Amino acid sequence: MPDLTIALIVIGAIVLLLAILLISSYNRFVKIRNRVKDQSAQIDVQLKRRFELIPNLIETVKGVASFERETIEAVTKARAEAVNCKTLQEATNADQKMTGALHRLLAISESYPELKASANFAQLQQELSSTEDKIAMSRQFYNDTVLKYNNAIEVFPASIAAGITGFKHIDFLQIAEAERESVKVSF
Amino acid sequence: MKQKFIRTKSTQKWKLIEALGFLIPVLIFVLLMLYNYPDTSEDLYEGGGLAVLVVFDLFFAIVLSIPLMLIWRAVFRQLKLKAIQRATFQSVQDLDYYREKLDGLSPVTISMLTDMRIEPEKDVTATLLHYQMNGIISIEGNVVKVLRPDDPSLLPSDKILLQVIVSRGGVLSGDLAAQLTDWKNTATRESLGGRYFQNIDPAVLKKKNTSSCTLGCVSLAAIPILFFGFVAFLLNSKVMKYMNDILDSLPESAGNRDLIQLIKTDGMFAQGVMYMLIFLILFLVFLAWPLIAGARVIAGIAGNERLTRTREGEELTEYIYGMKNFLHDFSELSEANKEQLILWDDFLIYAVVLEENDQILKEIFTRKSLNIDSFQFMRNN
Repeated sequence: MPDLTIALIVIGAIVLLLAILLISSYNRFVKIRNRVKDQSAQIDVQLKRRFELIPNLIETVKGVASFERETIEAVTKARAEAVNCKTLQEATNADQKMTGALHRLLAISESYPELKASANFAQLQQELSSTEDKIAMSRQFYNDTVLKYNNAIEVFPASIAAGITGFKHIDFLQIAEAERESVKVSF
Repeated sequence: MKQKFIRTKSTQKWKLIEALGFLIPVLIFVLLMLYNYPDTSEDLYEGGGLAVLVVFDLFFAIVLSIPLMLIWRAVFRQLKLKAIQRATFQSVQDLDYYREKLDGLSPVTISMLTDMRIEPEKDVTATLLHYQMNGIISIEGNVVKVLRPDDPSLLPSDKILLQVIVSRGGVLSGDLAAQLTDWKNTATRESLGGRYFQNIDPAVLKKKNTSSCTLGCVSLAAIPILFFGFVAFLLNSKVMKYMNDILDSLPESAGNRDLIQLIKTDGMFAQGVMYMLIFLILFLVFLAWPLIAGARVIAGIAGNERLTRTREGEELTEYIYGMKNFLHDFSELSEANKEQLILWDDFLIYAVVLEENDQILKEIFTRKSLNIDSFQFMRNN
């Protein structure tokens, strides 16, 4: 009997230890996954900030260069597409298209001295540039956080706990180069 | 407002050193075992063998290590607390993460705000990255090339550092102690001359020092009180009288075996032996008491900081705390190399100065080892 009791105690201790390890692993995965979500939300915040700047920019440009209709409409259309995206990757892809359209608009605006001299335009340009930097940084941090998460759930033996508790791999954010067309300058 | 503190390598170091004090009994035990084992006396250990030897040596190891551990703890606990105190700040916004750039703060200022200390290797590395980002230097491999030594944005400490680099041919190796001390002192003065630090009121500092001294002495006054109290108890104890009578009645031929037999069979005698062992522990601690008290007081007073952060300094320190947490939890900047500066911009500099990245230090400083908290760089081979 004593042998049986000892065996049961040892087995019980091992099971308890494994349960503790599983729970602590689960909690760790939850924390890291929440950080991924948090960072994803940060990208959204910066994207929204940029969306808010664009109407103001378009009105400023329209007032001076209304006949650059095609370029202005491209920006408006790209913005509308980006606002309606459901996933982060879709939003990123749409944002890259919008970035291309914005850059074309800003490049064309260089040809209009009135715009270049406008304080409002200069401020908008600066804010857009700053927001673009923040978006880029947010994306880098997002991918780093995803890397931490994927490493946490894929290394052995944590991968066993991740498999049991249903934590899955998250894809990195793929950032395609912004589309750029050659800018036609007309006099 | 609640207090928070920034975990730095310095605080971790002192915590580890304090914890190492628990190895003292282990070390003494091992030494006793090595000393006693070859000379095992058949008379003493007969019937008990190795187990008896282990128990005796374990007991004596604990007894002998108590005063040593008390001294160790008295000194290193104080140093640990001072390091933590320097890195402690008043939290105003209670934020855990801060994601915006710390505009306007140089790496040296960030380092000072973190723990009121400049650590040469990491702060120089972060400063060099800062120069590179601003086009003042270029770093290729581990060779630093100064491009704009007369840039108007450079402070006197920056110019000293650039001169050090130029005098070394762009390679930071060899004995840099004296030159970096000059840089460090100048950089410290520049940080303190700003609006983030202020001197502690001398009256407040005096009160702190007095408090350290009083606390140390009062807490350790318990030791002699305990010791003499126990001696008084022993002198009047019936158990001790009984034990003395037994020992006086033993024949001269009585050996260790007889004593062990007495301990096993006579409960009162065993109690007397225990009292003697307690007396031995208290006596050793009492002997070490002046050292313990002195060490505690000196460590307490020597570590008292003469500076404190201003309100603005506290707010910025909170942002630095948030930034460090953010870089730790949301990035893999610990793995980044200096070629990624263009990708990570200021964040890589923050990672270096906030001790989240050591790799770049090793890339820029070619020496093999550095004596922490001093400037005794070892020469390269």
